Amino acid sequence: MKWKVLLCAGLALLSGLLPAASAPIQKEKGWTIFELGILPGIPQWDPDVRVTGLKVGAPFSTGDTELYGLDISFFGSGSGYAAGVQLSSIAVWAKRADGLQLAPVTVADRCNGLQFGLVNIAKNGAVQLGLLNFIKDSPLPFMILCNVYYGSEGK
Amino acid sequence: MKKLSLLAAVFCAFSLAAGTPPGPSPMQRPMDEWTPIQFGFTYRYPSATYNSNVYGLKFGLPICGGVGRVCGMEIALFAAGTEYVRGFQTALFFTEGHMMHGLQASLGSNIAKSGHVGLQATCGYNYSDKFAGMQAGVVNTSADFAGMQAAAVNVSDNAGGIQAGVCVNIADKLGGAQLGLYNQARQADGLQVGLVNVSMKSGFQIGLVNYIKDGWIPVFPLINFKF
Repeated sequence: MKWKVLLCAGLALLSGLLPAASAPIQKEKGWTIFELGILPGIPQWDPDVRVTGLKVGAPFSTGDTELYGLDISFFGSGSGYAAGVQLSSIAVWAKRADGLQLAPVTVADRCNGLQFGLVNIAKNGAVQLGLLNFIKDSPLPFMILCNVYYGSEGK
Repeated sequence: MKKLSLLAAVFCAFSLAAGTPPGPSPMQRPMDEWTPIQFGFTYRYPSATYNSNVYGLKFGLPICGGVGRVCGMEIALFAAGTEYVRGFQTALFFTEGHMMHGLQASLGSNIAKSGHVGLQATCGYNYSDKFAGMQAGVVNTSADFAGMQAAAVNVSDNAGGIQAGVCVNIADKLGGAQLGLYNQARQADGLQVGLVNVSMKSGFQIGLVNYIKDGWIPVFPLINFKF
């Protein structure tokens, strides 16, 4: 009788384990409509939580989060990915931005959209309107007033 | 089921954000045939602008368009209508595209027929079938939406995020918040704040008149809810 119990327990364990072993565990991303940032790294947001709505920095909002909507701050706004608008009185930055970055200093690895500021910095693609415009991978890495480049990623 | 609307919208957003370039239509030129700058006068004139790939600047004097692609900036005096744009599309009166990544801006209306990731900004009307990002205008409409809609009137089938309307917000399935004078949703998984809030199935409402058809108390002033 005892071995039957053990066998059943073993089978139950295997049946529980096998699906987990065959299919990769995917963590479902959480979401929120509002996020308030205070200082860089404070509060520390879970990068697996998306903001679909409004992200406010008073005075800073940072983090490696994904934003869909509006990211607005007094001094600085940073996101991992931003689709929509990033707006600040000093600087905004993102690894990738789709939409508009509007601040005296705008920084992105890639901005599908417009960077509008005094100093605009991108790595591999952007449309930039401003005083000083830098796109690292562009044949014209520095331009005044306007710079446009989209590298191979866009193709 | 509760978060279905938001998840659907976010899923759409991510399928757009993943951003595989549009598959070539028979009308489009191969990707390796491109030009850094182009001038158009109407949608099909000069004919080369109709299906071209522009990596740089495309100008409409006064109109440009076509089934081609622009990676960079498309600027037109009256209307800009290239179908696939990655970057910035702007015109004085009217912009239209099929699939957009970036910013659409005009005084009259912005239309992205298939999808848009980024920002649509206008003094008039914005439309996108699937949208992720922010729509700012007088009237915003979309089928699947994730992010923020800011306008006098916002309409969406699946709204995930915030609908901030001065007058009216309407959604079929809401996952997020509606802020406006009149808010309406068939199924609200989230918050409605306004003068009059209407929901058929569920939601949390703060306002003068709050109506949830399937609610325990269908009509109640100030606060009403059903989960």
